[in-house]
Amino acid sequence: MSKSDLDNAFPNLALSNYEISSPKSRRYNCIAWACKDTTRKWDCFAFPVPPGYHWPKGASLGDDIVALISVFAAQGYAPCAESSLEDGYEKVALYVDDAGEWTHAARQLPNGKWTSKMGDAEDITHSAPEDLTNSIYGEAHCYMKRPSMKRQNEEEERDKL
Amino acid sequence: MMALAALTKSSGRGSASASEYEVSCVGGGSSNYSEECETDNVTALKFVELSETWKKDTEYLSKLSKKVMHPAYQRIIGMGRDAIPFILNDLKEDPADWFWALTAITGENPVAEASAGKVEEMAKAWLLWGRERGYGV
Repeated sequence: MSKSDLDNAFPNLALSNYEISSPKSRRYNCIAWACKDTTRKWDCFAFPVPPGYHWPKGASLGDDIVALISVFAAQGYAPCAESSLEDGYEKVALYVDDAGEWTHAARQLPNGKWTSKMGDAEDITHSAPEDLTNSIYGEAHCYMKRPSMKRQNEEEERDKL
Repeated sequence: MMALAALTKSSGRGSASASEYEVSCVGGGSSNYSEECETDNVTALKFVELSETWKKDTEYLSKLSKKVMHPAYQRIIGMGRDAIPFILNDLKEDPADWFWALTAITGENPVAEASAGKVEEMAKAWLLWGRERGYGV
């Protein structure tokens, strides 16, 4: 798929300033990428015979957004109100389609832009979660944040004093 | 030995259109060789057409439940065991999300728990499974 294919599938992207930031890969998917794992696919859909793909132990299963929220909660994220850049925190945006099923996750970069793995296609860097609103991904339904590594280290240092 | 259609991609790795595949017969020895081979050619071309449609339509989907419920993917599962050699062949070239289909068709899953989600390891496990059962992959 080319940039024009992406533009056609995601009309808001075509109007924004985005960049393709990786080659295509089937090795990982959007949930894995949002969790900074490029070694495997994350999905809870049951196989007729297990095992299926990776899904954190203890996380909820299913298509409801609650399942996806539980995955990021297990990574130390907590719900937050909006997508703006907050010093000392990293954020994710979780998407839900018209059927109410989770579809996608995007991760905020330290510069305030967002990064998304586009299915089996490339990773992209985009300006805002809304850039990916369409009939495939639906829209960003909620946001979650956790302290950045830098902030965690600072807090640990402070606790030692 | 049964006649078996072999798919050969005339271009390099990765996805290709149906016109880029050459179908040839291997095996033989059966009195119905040419009939079996023709049937197999039809199966091969049907697989290529359906798999291309599925890959194209689901390129931007990450979510497995959406991908495997695509009508083309379901039709490939509906081909039953006839689809296995073509799925394994495709898996060797390009490890797409064929694992769900393979478990649905065969009722087996040779993937180790530690390999869950690691598509290259999952593909290797299925290719070994195929070789052990006489599929030429």
